[in-house]
Parts: sequence; structure tokens; C-alpha cells
Amino acid sequence: MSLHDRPTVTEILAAVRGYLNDEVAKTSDRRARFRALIAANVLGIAERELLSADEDARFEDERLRTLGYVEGAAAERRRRLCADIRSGKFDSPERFVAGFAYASEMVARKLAVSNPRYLKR
Amino acid sequence: MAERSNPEALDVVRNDVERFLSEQTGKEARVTDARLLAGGASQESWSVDVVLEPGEERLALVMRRDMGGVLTFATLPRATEFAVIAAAHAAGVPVPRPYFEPATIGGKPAFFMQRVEGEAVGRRLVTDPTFADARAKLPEQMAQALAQIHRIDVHAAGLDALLPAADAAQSAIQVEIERLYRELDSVDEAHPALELALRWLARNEPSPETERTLVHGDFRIGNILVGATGLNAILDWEFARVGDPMEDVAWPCVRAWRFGNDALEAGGITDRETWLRAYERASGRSVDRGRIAYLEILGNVRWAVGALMQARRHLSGVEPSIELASLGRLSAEMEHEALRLISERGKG
Repeated sequence: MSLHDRPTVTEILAAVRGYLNDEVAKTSDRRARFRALIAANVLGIAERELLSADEDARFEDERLRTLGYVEGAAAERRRRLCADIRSGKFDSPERFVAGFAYASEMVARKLAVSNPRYLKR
Repeated sequence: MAERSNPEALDVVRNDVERFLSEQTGKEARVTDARLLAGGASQESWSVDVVLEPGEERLALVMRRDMGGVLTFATLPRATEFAVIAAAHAAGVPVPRPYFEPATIGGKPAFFMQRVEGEAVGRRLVTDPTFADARAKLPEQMAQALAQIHRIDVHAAGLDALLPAADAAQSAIQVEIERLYRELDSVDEAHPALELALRWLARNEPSPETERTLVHGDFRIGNILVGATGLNAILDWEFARVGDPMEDVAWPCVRAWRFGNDALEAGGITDRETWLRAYERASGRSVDRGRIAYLEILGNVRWAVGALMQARRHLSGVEPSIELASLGRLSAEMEHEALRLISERGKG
């Protein structure tokens, strides 16, 4: 638990999101309403990301190891992976399938945070 | 004038518009209303009402004006967009009539055009019962308008010197892939899914285009004004270029441009075959379905990168906007769709 008092970070985000959805969006003109709904939506993204951050990090670390990227911070390994894809190191059918599986799993994780409904459509 | 712009900015715009329109018309132009319109992620669009005095002549105009920052490396300067719209108007394409000549308003490049009535918001157009009749007519109307665009003689219209075009040594697809790599590098984020998709696209490139025409570059629901009887005008010409006309045919099929109406693969308003056949009839071309499927994947990557670029305009501080910021998290949807389509092709 954080040394800070409640509301927690996620509770604060949820409260602001509720305010934007239930008050700002309902009392504003069309353009301001549109922006309030976008703002509420990105706060929802922040809430979900905070909740899944630890698990996301563990998951990505494990998958990068599986691909052979063991050394260094995750962000740095991800960059090496991108450079390797671009220079053709994932062109062979087996490597392409492995890289593809990694990318698909990461994109699914990103969508679970950014727009969980998209995967259900 | 319910607008976020501060009153000073609005005064500058008003004064500059009055000065420019007075010069152009030889009359005293008075702005009676000026409002920033909703939407518009790359250019500002203003609704401007003007009275010309003496006399009672009133002009209902839209002013397109540069915003801060570069949307993508492919955006045209306003003066060039104006020239393209003028050429399309002269060719009988349904576009807002362009007025006067390119201007500078509040220190930013701008131009004026006729204000055309209609709805452009994609989500409404694909679902609202009000537009049911329009939706039934749109595939045919869009196909005819697109065929008209692709018939414009770029050289005769004086556009070949203004527009970006692939050199003879490269295919239009190669040029596009190179541009997307440059844009992705400029964003400076690691995107393994986009790297894989671009690599796949480069290694599975279809034969080079058989002809090059004027390409609208962003032809889809959301960029056309629709009224009760269907298509009123085609907007947003800032991505126009000389290239493969099939890029315009494939672009409305990209999932994002179905606005949630996923089952109707052409713009959320009709099925893919209906759209492709309508274009074939209108243009006299035969459409290679495999090429469209490939360009649809390219289109998803293009919009994924485009969304990252737009988010950068907010993140860099050039154009602070919650709307632009949110687009950074949209690109995962196009990544997902690009990978899904590639994996489907693999099975075939």
C-alpha cells in the first residue's frame, strides 16, 4: 500500500472520469462535450494501465527472453528487436512466426488497456 | 462564437479575413460570424460569414488554415491543396467551390471555399437512420466521384509540378513504405508489430502500378459531406498526390473507416464487392482484389503511423490537444488489424 491516503491514484482517476462523463459532458456544447468524453476515455486507459502494469511488465520480459532478448531493460530489448526485424533477422519462416506471435500478444495487451471492447467486436 | 480560441486570436483572424476579402472583392468585407468547426485534426476549418458592402451580398465560407506541427510527411501546403480543389472543381468533381486565391490569415497559410451543407461525422453517417437513403446511394456516388478524380489530367491541370510523385525507378508502394519508415523513425518509439507489418509489406509487394493518376489520398467516409440525397462534396485534399488509383479504392475498406460498422467492409456503408464493382463500372478499370487486400494492410499501417504522428503534435507541445493525445493509444487497433489481415493472407 502507498503511504498516501485514499483516494488512491486509480480512485482519483475514476472520480475525475465520472465527473467528466456525468457532469462536464452533460452540460457542455457539442465540441466541449466531445472533448470531455475523449478525456474521460483516456483516464479509463490510465486506470487500466495502472492495474495491469506489473503483470504487463512480467509478461513482456518473459516473451522477450523467449525470443532471445535477455540482457538490458525491456525498452532497450524492444528496440533491438525492432532493429533486428528491420534488418531482416526475422525473415525466415520460423523467426517470422516467433516475432509475429510476440507482436500479436503485445498488441492484445495494449488493446486490453487502450480499448478492451475492440477485441470483442 | 462559442469557441476555445482566445478573443485576441479571433480578432486577428477577423481583421485579417476582412482585409483579405476586401482586397479580393474590391468591396468592404465585414465578418458577421467566425467559428472554429468541430473536428479537424490537421487543419483548422473555420465557418466564416461575410457581408460585402455596399450592397447586400453575403458569402457563406469555410476557411481552411494550417495548424501547428506537421501531420505527416505527406501533407500538402494550403496553396497546393487549393490548386487541387480548383482542378477537381473544374473537372466537375463534387467539391466545395474554391474562392479567391491562397491567403495568409493570422500569420498562417489559409484559403477559402464555399460552405457546403452536410454531415461528415463518420459514426453518424454509418448508423443514423436519418441517412439510410443517403447510405443506399453513397457507394455509387462515391465510385463515380472517385473515377472522376482519377480521370483528371494532372499535367493539363498544372498539378504535376506541385504534387509529390514517385520517380520512375520506384513503385508507388515502395515510395509509401519508405515514407512510413521515415515517419516511424521520427516518432522514435519501438513498434515491433509495425516493423513486422512493414517488413511483410516490403517482401510481398505486388507488381508495380500499371498507371499513375491523381490520388485523393484520404478518400473515405468522414471526409465527405453527406446530405439527404447522398454525397454533397468531397473534402480534405491535403494528402493528394500522383500515384496508384487503387490506393484510393482500398482506403475506405480500412477497418477504422467503417466507424464501428465492421460487417460492412467498405466504409461501414456497403460490402466490399458492391464498392469494388461500383468503382469498376464508373471507371472502366478492372480491380485486382488481391491488390486491394494488400493495400488495405498498407492502409492500416499508414493510419497506425499517422495516429502516432498526430499524438506527437500534442506531446511535442506544438498543438496541445486531448484529442491528438488520445490518438497515440488508437494505433494499437490498426496494429491489431494489420497483423490479423497478414495472418489471414498467410492461410490463403
